[in-house]
Amino acid sequence: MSGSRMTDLAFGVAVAGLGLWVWFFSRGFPTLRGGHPGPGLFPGILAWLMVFAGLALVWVALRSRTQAPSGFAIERAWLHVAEVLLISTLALAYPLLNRQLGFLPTASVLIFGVALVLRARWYVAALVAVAAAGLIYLGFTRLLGVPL
Amino acid sequence: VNDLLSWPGLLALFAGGLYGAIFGSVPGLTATLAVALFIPIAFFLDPILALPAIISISAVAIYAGDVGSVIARIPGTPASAAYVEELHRLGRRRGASYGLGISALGSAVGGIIGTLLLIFGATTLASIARNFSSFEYFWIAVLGLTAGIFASSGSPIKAFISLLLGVLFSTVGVDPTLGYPRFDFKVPTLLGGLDYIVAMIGLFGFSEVLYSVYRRNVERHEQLPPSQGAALVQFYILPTLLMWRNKLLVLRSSLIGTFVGFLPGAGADIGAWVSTSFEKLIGKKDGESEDRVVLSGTSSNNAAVASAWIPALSLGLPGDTVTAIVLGVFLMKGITPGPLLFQNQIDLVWALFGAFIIANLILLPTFGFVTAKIASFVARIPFHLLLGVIAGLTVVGAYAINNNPFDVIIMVGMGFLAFVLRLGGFPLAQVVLGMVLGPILEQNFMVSAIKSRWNAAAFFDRPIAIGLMVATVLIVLIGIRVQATARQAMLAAEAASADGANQNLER
Repeated sequence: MSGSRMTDLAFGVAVAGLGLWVWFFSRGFPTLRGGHPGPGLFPGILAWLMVFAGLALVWVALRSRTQAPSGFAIERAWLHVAEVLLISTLALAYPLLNRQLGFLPTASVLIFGVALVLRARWYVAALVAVAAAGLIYLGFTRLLGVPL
Repeated sequence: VNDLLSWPGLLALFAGGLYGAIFGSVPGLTATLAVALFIPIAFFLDPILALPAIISISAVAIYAGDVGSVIARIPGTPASAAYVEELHRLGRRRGASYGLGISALGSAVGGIIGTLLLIFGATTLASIARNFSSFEYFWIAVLGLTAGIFASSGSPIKAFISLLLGVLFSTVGVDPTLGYPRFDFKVPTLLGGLDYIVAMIGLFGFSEVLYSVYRRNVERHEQLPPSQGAALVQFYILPTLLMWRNKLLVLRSSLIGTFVGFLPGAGADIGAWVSTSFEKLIGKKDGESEDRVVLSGTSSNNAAVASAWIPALSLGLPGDTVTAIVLGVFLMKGITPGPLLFQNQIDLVWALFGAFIIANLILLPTFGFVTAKIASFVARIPFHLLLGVIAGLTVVGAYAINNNPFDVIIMVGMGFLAFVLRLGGFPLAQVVLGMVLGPILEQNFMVSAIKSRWNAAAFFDRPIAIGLMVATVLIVLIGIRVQATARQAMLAAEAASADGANQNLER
């Protein structure tokens, strides 16, 4: 089975599963007077459409004889996945660090981290990080009058 | 229009053009990303400056996407991908100035034709839409979502799933009928729904960083090939003569681009694919074939940039990802797109039309030449350093809008989701389309259902509503037919290549 088919199968199952969760979650929403559908109507319809679409993707993936033209197989690039997660974590830490350290050091660390992950030389990454953080700071605080 | 022609207005247009030129010319940085990163700045600017700047950014960035095609056979934006091979070969054969001259002037003419049709189409549609009730708006949303499924160049099932995810995101927060909180997980910020602007920054900005990190998109440009003869002649005179010889081709491609751009969810990239495929299919095969394919694609994609604004301005439906972001900017500025915009803020509407004319008539020809010249400089900046700066801008931008740490979580979450969807080959434009059309669909359905006391026949009573329903059914039928034809063509091509491989083996 090709990687693309496996990817589509995984996505199909995930979407159908998400649909079931949405349906389960939205069952508790109230109805309108007279028993007419209320806030749960749309999420309920969406839920079943997601189940239907997810199963359709699974069916197409199982039937396809050739590699699908769209999408690509998720490679076992665990290092790259770790780097993606590292950058996401750095971004999530931004508000916390910004409160503790201030804008310039925090933004510099974030830009420096991404550049390092992408194999930039450390001193070039540091220089660009400080310069870019400074420019962003000046742009927002001086030109736009937005506190960072 | 006076505001547009003031110094701050012109500065916004020119600065936007330069910013768009830089983003478009670097492969991996798209027009949508340029606009997404501009949102935090637009948030703090007057709409009369912010919106023309966005027009200038998108028009110039779509053209500048051709710079990467010429110098490295890497389209700077998806809208340039349809004719990347032809443009690269043309640049190698006749010099970069000639190739980029066709791109710039073709884009300018296509953009002007698209703008004229935008002015006519948007004002006409807005005057028709004045008579629309909740029933018509419900059917418009259905039509828009249906077109979004088939407008995708990939799998319609995946486009459908992307749409459903977008509509699902739009249900977060209090519901429109009872004010009941849905999917808020007891987080007060989520009661108001997912912040559309923050979600856009994550979907198009942060996801680009993650995707590039994962795929190691750190390509480098080559040196620009030398021009043959005076650069100004190569850039302006020869492409003008080519366009004069192929007037009908430019007109046809611009009209195709305008039509495709008008469809919700189908943007400049699909416009370029359709018109170049058409030219490759029926065009003459001679020494100028490549020139004509490039001319066809470039005039089509810039016409689509303008026409995507027709449904956005007159109905509040996004024609592409850029106009989806623009609708977010409208909302954050307290401007309601639709027929009322043409009644209450007609000055703004004409300023936008004026911005399109200036961007296409003045910015593209001038910035086009400048961009071609600065491209070799921009190309020397390592992509990994640019990505670091983009990551910084997305996080700072998302946080600066409301100074709310939760916005960063939403932005990162959306970015990660978009990254995963891209890995699976799911289109992102449809997620945005779902987020924009979801509330319109639900609100107008509930209002219509309650108004008609849950009588389903009321949805098929009004003539315009019936027309919109018939159009929806036609889109489904045509979409299925086109998909089936494309699948048959793909299977035939695979069978032919397998036959060829077998014959080679036998030899």
